[in-house]
Parts: sequence; structure tokens; C-alpha cells
Amino acid sequence: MATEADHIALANKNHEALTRLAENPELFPEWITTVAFYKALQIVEAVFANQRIKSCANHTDRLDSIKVRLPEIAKHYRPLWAASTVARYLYDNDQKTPYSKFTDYLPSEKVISKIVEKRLRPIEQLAVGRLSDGAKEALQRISS
Amino acid sequence: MSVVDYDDPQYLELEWSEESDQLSVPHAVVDRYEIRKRRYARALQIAERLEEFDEQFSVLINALVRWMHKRSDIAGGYLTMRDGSFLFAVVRTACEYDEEFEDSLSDLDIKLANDGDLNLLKVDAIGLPPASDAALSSFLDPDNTLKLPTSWRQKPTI
Repeated sequence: MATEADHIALANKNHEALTRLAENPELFPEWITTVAFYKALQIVEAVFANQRIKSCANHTDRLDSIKVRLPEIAKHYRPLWAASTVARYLYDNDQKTPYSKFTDYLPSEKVISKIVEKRLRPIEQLAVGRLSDGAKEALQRISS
Repeated sequence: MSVVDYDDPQYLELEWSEESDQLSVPHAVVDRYEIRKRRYARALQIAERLEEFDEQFSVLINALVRWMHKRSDIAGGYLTMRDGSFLFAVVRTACEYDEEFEDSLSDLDIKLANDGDLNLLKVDAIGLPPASDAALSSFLDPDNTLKLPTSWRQKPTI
């Protein structure tokens, strides 16, 4: 079973990818959203590991656990999960509908502010108080 | 040669009853509604607690519809199943991601998850932009989806 340190290491890998993607947000806004979500997921799993909460094997169980145990984090985690789900699974060839591609939902010029700053950053801020000192120090966080 | 002639509605559509001030099941789909409810209970692995499930399910779908009614930016609401739990999929009228909408949906989602009277039910909520039925179908299991009413003549009491 992965430890708190393992999850922080994985969160930091996602952070590195996110940093690269954010250099040109117009190229892959879907992946900025998705990587931001997976960074949040690893941070939450690190909190679970530190607080001896059972690790979750799927998104449904994890969402449920976060809503009950970490409701302040759930407020931001759920929209992040939802946006990444739209990014990964919703594509529409029907030209008559308002939505056809992810940037109709989240324009690339807004993806950093709406997803990274307004959703991922609060998750980081809320999570650090629930991590060990070592994990807190090791976690690479979104800079302001 | 005989011809099979019956309606096979994919998304069972519920109505709002003015008389009872609650959701109602149209007579034509009552049997299918009961079939789906039993299927939900089996998927949630609580088939042996069907009576309790029925009560909680009624509270759940009424809560979802009352939340939808408070908003003016919803084009459709669906309750479906995914990975052994309910998914409340809300299709918005506007395309672009909306923070206030997402916050409100999170508040509802967290409230439902912590409601002791709904302890048998797991439900997640997702807001979706207005895409075609074909595109949305990747989120909605055709055999397990209820379409919730988004309009009614008389407003429900909140």
C-alpha cells in the first residue's frame, strides 16, 4: 500500500507536468484540467494515508469518502473531478449543439484561473494542515 | 407474422404532481420504474432492504428536483448509475463552466452524502454542458436512467 510520501511524490510528478502544460495553456487545456485533478487525488490520498483513512480504489469510493471526511476539500475536489471528466469523456461532433469541444466549456485562457487557482490551490491549502511535517515540506504547491 | 409493438423508453421520464406536491411516476412507465428501482437496489447490494431503499430513494429524487427548481440555468436532470452508485447528471443551459453553479452542486452533493436518512444511497453529482443526446449518452446508462422534471406548473414547496 502506498505511503503518504509515495502519494506526495506522485503529486509532485503531476505538479511538474502541470507546470510544463501551463506554459502554453492553449495547447492542452484538457490535460491541464486532468493533471490538476490527478494531483489533487494524490494529495487527498496522502491525507488519507497520514490520517489512517482507508485508501480508495476508485473515483466513486474516493469522492464518497472525501465528502464525509473532508467536506471542505470536497467542495473543490468535486468540481475538479467533474471538469476532468468532461475533459476526458465529452466530445460532440453534432455542430447544432452549443458544446462540441472542451474549450467551449473551459476556454484555454481561463483554465489556469478557474481550475488551477480556484480549485487545486484551495485543496492544497486545506490539505497541508492534515499532512505530516515532512509531507508538508515535500509537497510542491501552486505559487501565487 | 407478429409484430412486437411496445414502447422502450430509454430514459424514464418522471413528472411533478401538483396534487401531491411531489414527484410522480406516469402511469405508462410505473412497471418499468419499479423494475429499475429493484435494479438500483441490486447494484447497491441492498436488495434485501427494498422497503428502506424505496423510502430513501423517494427522499433523494425529491431533493434533487427541489434543488433543480431553485435554479434557472438547468436544461435537464438525470439520475443514472455508474460504478455501483448513483450519478446525478445536470445538463446546464449555458456551455461555459460556472463557479457558482459548481459550488451549489457541491453543497448539495456534500449534504446528501452526510444525510443520515440517506445512508443506503451513494450519489455523485456532475454538471454537464449542453451537448447532443448522443454525446451525453456516454454518461447515461440507457437501462438505468431516470429523467427528472425540469418544469412544472406549480412550484414545489421548498
